Amino acid sequence: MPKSILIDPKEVRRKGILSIESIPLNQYTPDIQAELNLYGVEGLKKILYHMLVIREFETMLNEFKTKGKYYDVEYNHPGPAHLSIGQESAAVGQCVNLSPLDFIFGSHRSHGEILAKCFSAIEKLPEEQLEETMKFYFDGAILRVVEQEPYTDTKDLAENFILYAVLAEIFARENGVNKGLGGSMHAFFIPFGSMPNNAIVGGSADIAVGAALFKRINKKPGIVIANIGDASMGCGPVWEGMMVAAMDQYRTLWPKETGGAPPVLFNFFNNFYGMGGQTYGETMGFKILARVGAGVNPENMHAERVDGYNPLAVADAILRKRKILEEGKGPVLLDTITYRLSGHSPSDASSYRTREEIQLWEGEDCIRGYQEYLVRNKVFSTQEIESLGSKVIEKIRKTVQLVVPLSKSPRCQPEFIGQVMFSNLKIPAWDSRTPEVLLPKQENPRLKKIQAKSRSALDPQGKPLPKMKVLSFREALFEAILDAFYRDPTLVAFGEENRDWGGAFGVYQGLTECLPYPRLFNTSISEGAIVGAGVGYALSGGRALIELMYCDFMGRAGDEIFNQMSKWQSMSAGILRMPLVLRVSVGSKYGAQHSQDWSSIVAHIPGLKVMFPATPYDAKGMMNLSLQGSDPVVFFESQRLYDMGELFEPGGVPEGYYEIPEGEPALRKKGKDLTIITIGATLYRALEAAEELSHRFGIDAEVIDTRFLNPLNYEKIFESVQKTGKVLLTSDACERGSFLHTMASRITETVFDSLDAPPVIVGSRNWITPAYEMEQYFFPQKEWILDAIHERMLPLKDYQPTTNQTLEELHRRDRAGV
Amino acid sequence: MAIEVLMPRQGQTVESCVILEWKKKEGEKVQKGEILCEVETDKAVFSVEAPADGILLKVLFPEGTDVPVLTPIAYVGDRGEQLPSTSGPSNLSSSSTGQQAVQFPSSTSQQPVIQVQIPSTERKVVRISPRAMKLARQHGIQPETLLGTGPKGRIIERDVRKVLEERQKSLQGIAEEAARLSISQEPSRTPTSVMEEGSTSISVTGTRKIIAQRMMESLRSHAQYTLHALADARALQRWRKRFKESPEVYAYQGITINDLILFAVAKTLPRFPELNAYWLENTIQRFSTVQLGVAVDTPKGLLVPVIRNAHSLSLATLSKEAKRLAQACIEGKISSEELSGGTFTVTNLGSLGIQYFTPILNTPQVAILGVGTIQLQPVMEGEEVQFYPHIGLSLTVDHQAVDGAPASRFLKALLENVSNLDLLFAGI
Repeated sequence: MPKSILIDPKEVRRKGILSIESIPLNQYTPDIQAELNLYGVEGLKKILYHMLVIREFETMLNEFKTKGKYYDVEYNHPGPAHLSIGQESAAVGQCVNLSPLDFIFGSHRSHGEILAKCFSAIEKLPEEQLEETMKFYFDGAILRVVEQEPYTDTKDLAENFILYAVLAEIFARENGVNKGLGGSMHAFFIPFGSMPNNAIVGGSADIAVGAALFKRINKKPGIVIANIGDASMGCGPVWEGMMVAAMDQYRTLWPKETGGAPPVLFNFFNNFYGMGGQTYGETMGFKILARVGAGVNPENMHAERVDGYNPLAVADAILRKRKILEEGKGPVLLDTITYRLSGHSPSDASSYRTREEIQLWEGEDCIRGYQEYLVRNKVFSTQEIESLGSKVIEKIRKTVQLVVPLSKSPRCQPEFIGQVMFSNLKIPAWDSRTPEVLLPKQENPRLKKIQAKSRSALDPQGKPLPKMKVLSFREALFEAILDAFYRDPTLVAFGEENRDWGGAFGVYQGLTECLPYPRLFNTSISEGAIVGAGVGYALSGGRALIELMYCDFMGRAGDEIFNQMSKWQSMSAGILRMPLVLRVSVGSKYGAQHSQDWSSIVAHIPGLKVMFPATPYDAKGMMNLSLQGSDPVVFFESQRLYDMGELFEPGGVPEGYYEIPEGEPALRKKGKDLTIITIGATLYRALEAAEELSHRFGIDAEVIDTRFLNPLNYEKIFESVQKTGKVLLTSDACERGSFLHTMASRITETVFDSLDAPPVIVGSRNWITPAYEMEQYFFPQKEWILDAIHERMLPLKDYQPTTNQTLEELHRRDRAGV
Repeated sequence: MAIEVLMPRQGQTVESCVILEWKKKEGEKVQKGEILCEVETDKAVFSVEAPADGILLKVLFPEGTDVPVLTPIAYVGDRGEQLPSTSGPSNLSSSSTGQQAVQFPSSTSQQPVIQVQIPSTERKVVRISPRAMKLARQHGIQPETLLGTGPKGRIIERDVRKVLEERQKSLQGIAEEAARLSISQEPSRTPTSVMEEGSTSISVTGTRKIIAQRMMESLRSHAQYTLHALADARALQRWRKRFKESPEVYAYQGITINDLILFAVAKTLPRFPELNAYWLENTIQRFSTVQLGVAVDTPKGLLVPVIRNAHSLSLATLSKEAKRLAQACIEGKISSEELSGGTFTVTNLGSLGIQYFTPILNTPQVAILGVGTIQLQPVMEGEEVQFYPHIGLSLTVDHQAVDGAPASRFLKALLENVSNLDLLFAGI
């Protein structure tokens, strides 16, 4: 909420009419002279060549899928193949005026786009660069295979390289562009600007926005295009992506030097269908997709309908729109009409469209149309075109002969997948330039205030100091984050109420003063796109610190967290990194939709590191650890603890830099009779329980703070339970499906013979969180811990439980589902 | 199809039996009636016979397994026959503890059927944590002897530690005592070296184990004292001779001295219901009928079959029944039901020359009569001393239920009845 922009009631209450600017439809007029001037004869010919390559490639896949045979090669391809026969002109036309530094993100139907982008890059790049790219990609493994076949020159070799590597990827071979781990729907080749394709409909939209932000904020050249389909206009991430891309602040609040809005183009390849659902007339209401631009900003997102069946119309549109984007006036929306002659997938019987409709579009076939245009204008002769066609078939056949046999193109070793789930690198900064800041670090007003406080909550005699004089959990986080902003120039933070407000829980207070807008800004309320943009930013090569105000909002960014953030490193076979830290807070006092602990859900998803510090020392050390890494981290913070000072580390929280070793639990209290293991804020209730066990019953409990859910080194935990024989685990997450059960099961299997009782789990009730006034019935309490010990582990002398922690009660709850 | 061999149900209350020994191996030929294996309950050992001629095709459970009754334990059939697929044992743990209702089968419809709660003596499931089990084993402590203070009575580490501590204390006490009395220590040979010379180690299992546990339990939980008396044995001897010489057609020739004793006991007890009772901690259960247990020495050990409603039987019937039961015990054919429900027990060591002894109560019965040998005793006849045959009767009684005087009154009455058997005959 920038104070600089006043909202005047007189203005907003004034009578008036809102007019909407017209939106051009298919305004391109063919002009062969102009086109020859722009592209030259060779350029125009190349466009046809690229379309023919794509058509034959897709046809080859179709033959394998439907007949199991392409020419003389037999093969069964069981995986997906979403073909784009009929859409070649849109894909190729798009790349004519793009450079290798421009990124395209695609959909599940993007073979054509990948090939078009790569072939276009091959045209534009010098031979030395092509050679180097091929030599260094996967240490030359792919090059060694393709260079054995005859080729005319480096460009020809590079084309063979791409055809081979993309087909190998589709057929799940190790020499695929992503070692076979991405497959048809996720393939991409970064050196040529082909960025990840997404099997999730619309998934690329907000990721593309993040990549565009990366280019804008880090002053990298190029634009970013999201190739998504017309049906994706029904998806949240697409709308949220457009909202974030169209924020006013890029022009009203960000410094002029930054360059304006992120250069993102939403290029909808409108083929009028989702899978079988027809957007025009059935599943959507816009009639003409370009209309949607008018709903986003006064410029209508510079929207146009473009005739995707004419590659030159598409090329022209891109040329004009890229200028708008480079001037910082984006985002842009294009409604590029096209049509797929092939079905959605090989299982598609086209029951949703008529033979008549297909024939109409076949009659307008984009390749035939363009061929005829070239012949008519004497750019190409029919014979030349025919011989070009034979050359294309030959190229594809050669590719097939190299890919199909497993002896030439084997699959990767299965255990390799485990090696690419995480990159585990230490990268202090993703760029070497000086970080942009508004003040020297030591002049930061909040930092100065903090430096006057005690680093520990206890004085040297061990007596508690007044809260106001003690460094708090949130301030410890601030120190780590501030440090990273001064070290890594690519680090940005965005989300809701980050700037000005300083974060809903005050962690970012003091950052507004020292960081320019592009490094700390507020987004729209678009949790999906907030995380999605973070994903796009990170995979483009920059570090992103994203905040979701409440962990409960993770549901709004479900796909981005569970399908994007967690999977890109592995789906790319380790080519991409994901230096993304997602901070979420676990609430209390705010009721059912604002007080949940979902750490167990996140820990279940492969590819995510999950952390949950419970002390200021750990908060700073673990944030430092996360902000130096290359892996995605979901970082949980309990709102109950933001005020707390450091009670355990002698001397308190160090002023300098330090990291907590990854995966190591912390021993908070040594004991010998039983072990209590906690995740999050229950640490403090467990310590209270341990105190009571000691002075009332003479029982000496050991307390361990897990703090890392994934990865997790159980060694200290095994040692403890082996020693005491009894273990109780407690956290604020609901009991059913809690990560505590995973831990209990692992502990039982490992130290079974030393157990004096089965592990006891004390979690929150499997209810909605009630109002603050009734929270003690929902979250684990000290009494629950003692009662559970008495009922299920070690009956205590003369002890009267006040809650029902019996096994029978758990069974009743199971039966009732609560 | 091969024939199933089921674990037999020896009595209504038996839920499972342990397979002690397979007499035949898989693949061996068997004949109908041949013993395939021996199984045991807490009372006795039974044999399981082959149901038909054929090959023992499959043995489903190894020796030592506790198998629920009516579960298939083997298959007999022709070589190569199809075996039905078994899903395997569903629950082979020992049956649970608990009270069991025992029904006494009535010999006539008029006989009242008594429902009595008898504390179960079947094997308990021992609930013990792995940690405690490990510790107990290390120190040679039997888990069954431990009292559990964990949740639901689970034996946990602290329970084992407690026993260890007490052991330690008592050992210390003994050591201190020995030191005080300055018992000289011989340079002794180590226990193991003594053990190794000329000794045999017999594993305590089966019936021996059961007897051992029951006897210990009896002594541990009952205040036992024994009254010794001598009964005039002339009537016994006279009648024994009479029956031996009786016409065959009456089938009285097999009536023994012991039968006569049993008869006398059965007729005397109804007047002394105090002695025909159970001690059940908080109640004493007195019976109006006499279910008379008769101790039988068998090759496998002591068994005590029960003569039903002995008080109402004629001497001849009682004798026949005693014989039948004894024979069944010796042959290993006695049923579980025949071994249970006794209210008073008689045990006879007279044939082995024992004069008096201290029989141990067959708990929860409050009394047991031991019968000794017949020997001459001096008796005053007017002014002269005469030697007449007398039989030793040793009555052990539970002082918790019966004091010395009432017990003695019963014994006195029994002595009189034994001396005047003919009077008893009038009341049949």
